[in-house]
Amino acid sequence: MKIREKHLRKLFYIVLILLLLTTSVGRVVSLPFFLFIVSGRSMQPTLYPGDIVLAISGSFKEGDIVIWCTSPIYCVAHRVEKISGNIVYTKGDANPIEDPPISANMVIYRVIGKIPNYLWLTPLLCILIYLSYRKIYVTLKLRPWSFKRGEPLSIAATIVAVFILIDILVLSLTPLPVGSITYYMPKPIVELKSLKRINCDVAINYNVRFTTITGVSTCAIYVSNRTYGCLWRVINGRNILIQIPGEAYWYAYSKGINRLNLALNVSLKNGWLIGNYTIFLKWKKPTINVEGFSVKIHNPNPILLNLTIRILYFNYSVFGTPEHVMTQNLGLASIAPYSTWSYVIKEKSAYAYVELEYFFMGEKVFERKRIVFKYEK
Amino acid sequence: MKNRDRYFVISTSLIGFVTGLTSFLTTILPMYNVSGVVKGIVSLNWYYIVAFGKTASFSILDAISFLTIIVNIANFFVISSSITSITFTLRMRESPLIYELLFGSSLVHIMYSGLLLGLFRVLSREVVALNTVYREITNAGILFAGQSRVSETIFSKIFFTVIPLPLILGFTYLVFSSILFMKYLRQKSYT
Repeated sequence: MKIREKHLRKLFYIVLILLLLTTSVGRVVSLPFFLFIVSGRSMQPTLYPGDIVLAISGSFKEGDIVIWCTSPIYCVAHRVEKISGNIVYTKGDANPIEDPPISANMVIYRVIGKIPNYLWLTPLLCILIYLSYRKIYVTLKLRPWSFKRGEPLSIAATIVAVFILIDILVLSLTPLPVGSITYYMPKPIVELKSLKRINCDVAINYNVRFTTITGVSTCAIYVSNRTYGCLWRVINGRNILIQIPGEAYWYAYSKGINRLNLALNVSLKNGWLIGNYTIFLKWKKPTINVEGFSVKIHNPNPILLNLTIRILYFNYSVFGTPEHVMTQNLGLASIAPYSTWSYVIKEKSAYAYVELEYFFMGEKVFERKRIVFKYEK
Repeated sequence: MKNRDRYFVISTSLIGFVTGLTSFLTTILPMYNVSGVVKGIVSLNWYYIVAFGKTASFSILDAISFLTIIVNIANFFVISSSITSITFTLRMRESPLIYELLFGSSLVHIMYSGLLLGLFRVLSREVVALNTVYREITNAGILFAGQSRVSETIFSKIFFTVIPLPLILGFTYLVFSSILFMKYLRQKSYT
């Protein structure tokens, strides 16, 4: 019986030493199998503090939980979010943001399973409590005098030695992560994704994290020394559609200014954002197309285009020279932004001229297009 | 054991008990209050922080909590040693175990007080970083996410004064237990 107990004890020590070696040496050298005790809460609900993680060395893919070490005392078990070449992006399931990117060489193991803390901690604690109780009971109740035989300071020295050992072991195996506490803070992040002009409006697309856009408290357009208010609409809590007033466009158009400055004070769920954006304008002359007997004038600008149109009808005289027949004044036509105005000219002569007068970037422009009704034989 | 010696043992044990209990309270009572956009309570052994409406966990604070467990093992050892010594003395049993336990536990406490103070300093350094205005400049503009303020609790002011209370008590306990141990050694040499 005693021999069996002795063998069992030996086996227990061997297993304990092997486990200790696996957990400590495996951090320095890549072993085929590795055990890791979870100390943080970053992987909850997958891994809890005290869980023993079983890991093997080998390849890994996105979605796997891997163990990477920056130093023998600092190892992390986090999930692979993205692999981009030799760079691996990991993130704790409970962490709001990713870890700093690491080299693939730093990943030592891939997690294949876990032993939940209650499966090994509870029996261990029960055994320890039982053994301590038995020892204390025997020592204090039955044989307190036995200590008289011991050398002075022997117990005190043992106690101190045991606690020094615990201290060294725990301090060397517990990682103290570097970096500020604010790194993993789920701080609101708002980044500009795109700023596009859709006809007269401006669509601002933001990359928003840990917050949402609730409204806009200030929306102003600055053109040269003038300020205009603007209307806004929040879409999906991350995009804003700004309605730029026609006056602002008109002023920029009339002065030949190629950009507008947009000042926004965006209210967020947590805080606010002050943004100043430049909207570039590309003014184009209206395009005049003659298709058959119809004239089509397209306004390519975000302003109301006012132009004076008149049609001059001509015939050929007997000498072949142009002979003015009549003038048709169509008066002032207003073409809405980005729209087309068309007019079908009635056949009243051999040919006609469509004359347009408008202001382009502060300058008066005169344009003429010829329409031929009857070709000379 | 003379009555005078018995009283001395009991008073040393009581100091040990108070020392262990104080150190234990130091680890579990909240030391810092965080208010503003980041709200919460931070103690050495646990923390609860809600940052921007989300419960946040920080690996550095987790590591401090983990390390505080071994400080508490030492604290429980100090407390149990003191209780054992009181029980022994009250039962009129004289055993060298009393002196060894008291002296040993006082040394352990002093050793772990250093760790406790170190952990508190790390905790303070980290938590003070939360006393900030969350302002960031991105390509979208200047982002103001509010402000958070960190304030010490009354427990922090009591336990961690210029000379921390666990350290004062620890030294007192060490002095008393050393005197007791010297007496025991002298007695042993006479006998």
